[in-house]
Amino acid sequence: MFKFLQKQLIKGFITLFIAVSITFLILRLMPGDPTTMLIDPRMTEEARQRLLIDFGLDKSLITQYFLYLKQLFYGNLGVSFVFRAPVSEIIRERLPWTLALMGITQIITIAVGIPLGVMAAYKRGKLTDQIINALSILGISIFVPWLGIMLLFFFGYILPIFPVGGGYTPGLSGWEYFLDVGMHFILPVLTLTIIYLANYILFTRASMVDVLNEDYIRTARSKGMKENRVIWKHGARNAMVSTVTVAGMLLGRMVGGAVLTETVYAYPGVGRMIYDAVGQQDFPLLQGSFIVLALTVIVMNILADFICAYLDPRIKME
Amino acid sequence: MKKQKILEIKNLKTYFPLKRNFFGQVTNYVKAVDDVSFDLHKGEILGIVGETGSGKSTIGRSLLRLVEPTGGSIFYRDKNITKMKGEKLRKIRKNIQMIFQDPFASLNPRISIGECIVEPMREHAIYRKSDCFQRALMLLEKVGLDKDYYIRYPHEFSGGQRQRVGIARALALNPEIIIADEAVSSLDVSVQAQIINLFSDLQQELGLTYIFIAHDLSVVKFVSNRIIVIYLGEIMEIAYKEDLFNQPLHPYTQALISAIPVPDPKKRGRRIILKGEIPSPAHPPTGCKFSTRCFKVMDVCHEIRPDLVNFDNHQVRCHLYQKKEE
Repeated sequence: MFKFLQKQLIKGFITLFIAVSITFLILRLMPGDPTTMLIDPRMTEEARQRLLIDFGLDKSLITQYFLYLKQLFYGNLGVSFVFRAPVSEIIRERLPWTLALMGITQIITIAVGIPLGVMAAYKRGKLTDQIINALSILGISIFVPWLGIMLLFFFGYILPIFPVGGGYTPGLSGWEYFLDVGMHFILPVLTLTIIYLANYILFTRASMVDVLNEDYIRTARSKGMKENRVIWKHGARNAMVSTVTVAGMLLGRMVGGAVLTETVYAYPGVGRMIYDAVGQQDFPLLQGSFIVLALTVIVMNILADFICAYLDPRIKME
Repeated sequence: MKKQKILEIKNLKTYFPLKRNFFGQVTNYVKAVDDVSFDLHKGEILGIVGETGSGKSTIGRSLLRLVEPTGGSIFYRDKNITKMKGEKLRKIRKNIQMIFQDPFASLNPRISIGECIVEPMREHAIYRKSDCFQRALMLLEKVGLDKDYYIRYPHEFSGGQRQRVGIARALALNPEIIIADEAVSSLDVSVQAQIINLFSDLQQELGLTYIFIAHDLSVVKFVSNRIIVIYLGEIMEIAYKEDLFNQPLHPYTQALISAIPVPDPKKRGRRIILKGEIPSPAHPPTGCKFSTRCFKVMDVCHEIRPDLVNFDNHQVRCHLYQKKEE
């Protein structure tokens, strides 16, 4: 158990290091100079040089890289060019919104996607399966911003049930605030759910189709077990192993969807912030949010590995 | 000894669709089991032998309705179970248990050995909870496995051990009939012997009735009382073991028996070598299905399908004997 954790942590750490390095490089290779955004053109050359030195932008790329790693080690993500505030503080403020959005979407997609996938596999080739399949393909094909805007149009404008954007209405407190946040939540969650649900359905269906052809399913039937128990206990639990593995990876993809969704709904999360930071060439903020998101995805993947090991005794924890 | 019929199979047919036309109608079948009838008597061990692809396993599976029969009927204690569904079918399955061919694939990898044995007992609620556990331990011991294996998982065991688990699982419900489908063919010869001995011990101890499906005639000879020889889904010969081995009637049976290795080189008889392979069950020969490989083939064999003829408890499907009867 401890060794398994150790192995997973080392693996996660290496992944994080690679993610951190790539993030650093990609941002430096981007065209454009942050000083033009950062520094007022009316500033004197002397003041500009001083600011460049303050932010360490005068040093060579390699020196910058090692300084960056060193600061990262101490938990310092740098100072935002635009907000002139520590990146870690800005992210801390935004992260809970995004985590809540992705977390709830993940829970809904798993809770709905796995049963639908199992059902499609069990009814393979029948009408139920064909309907589920067609809808899944549709879900995968939809472009996130389009769906977001359509939902906004119908449920925010034509039928104004939900607020058109933001994460909360200012000036509320207590239960009212809580309810208000919930209302702001529904459309973004719905958008992400529609897009990612199909993945779970299709992956679960594919592995369930394989599992249902296994000999041990026939054994279970021959024991005289109820069909429901055969499907869920012997079938779905085995099919779940691959679904959980995929869930970890899908979470990474969902970050991309979150950026688009949050932008459409002007949602105060990390995704929206990334979108803005790209436009403003705010390197430290981008770097910081990529690292935090990478860390989140890595942690979720380690969690997924643990769930897999629990589901399948052949994956040993030792 | 008065024979009590517990299973009666009448004209069992199991076809698998092979091709469908545009409208979804089936145009070609594999006739895996074609018009098979036999009885199973209480306490006997009935062997079913045949080559790969002859439909032996499909017979076994059809009896438990794991594969839906296309036609014919199956009676268990005078109850027609051919069309039974849901709860009633579950109750029947409780009494007829199956041991499967592949000990590696037929155990669920994420369910422990103990759970695997306890599960059917719990599902049918025939024992109290605490008794289930005790019974599982007793069964593990009975099939020669350590009690400590209860909490272990299938991947930790060898093929022979897993097959024992499969036997313990099949015994858990205290069934009347056990269908052993190639239960030993994937095992080493030494392990085969152990498992076969286990089968005979259990039969004497618990008064079980077996259907023993195998392709190895020497294994079947060792365990069974009565033997069915099957070829391309059809019964070629049914007889008591002694009769079948001392006086095989069907040319196919004669060829099979001549192929059993004999340890003493001086006693080795003339071997009948059959030509070619078993024909594709999708396109079986017309007339007698064995006619393409038979060494005593006559013109009539290619045209007319012979009937199963009975000579006191020895049935055979061959034109050689049809004439004699007339």
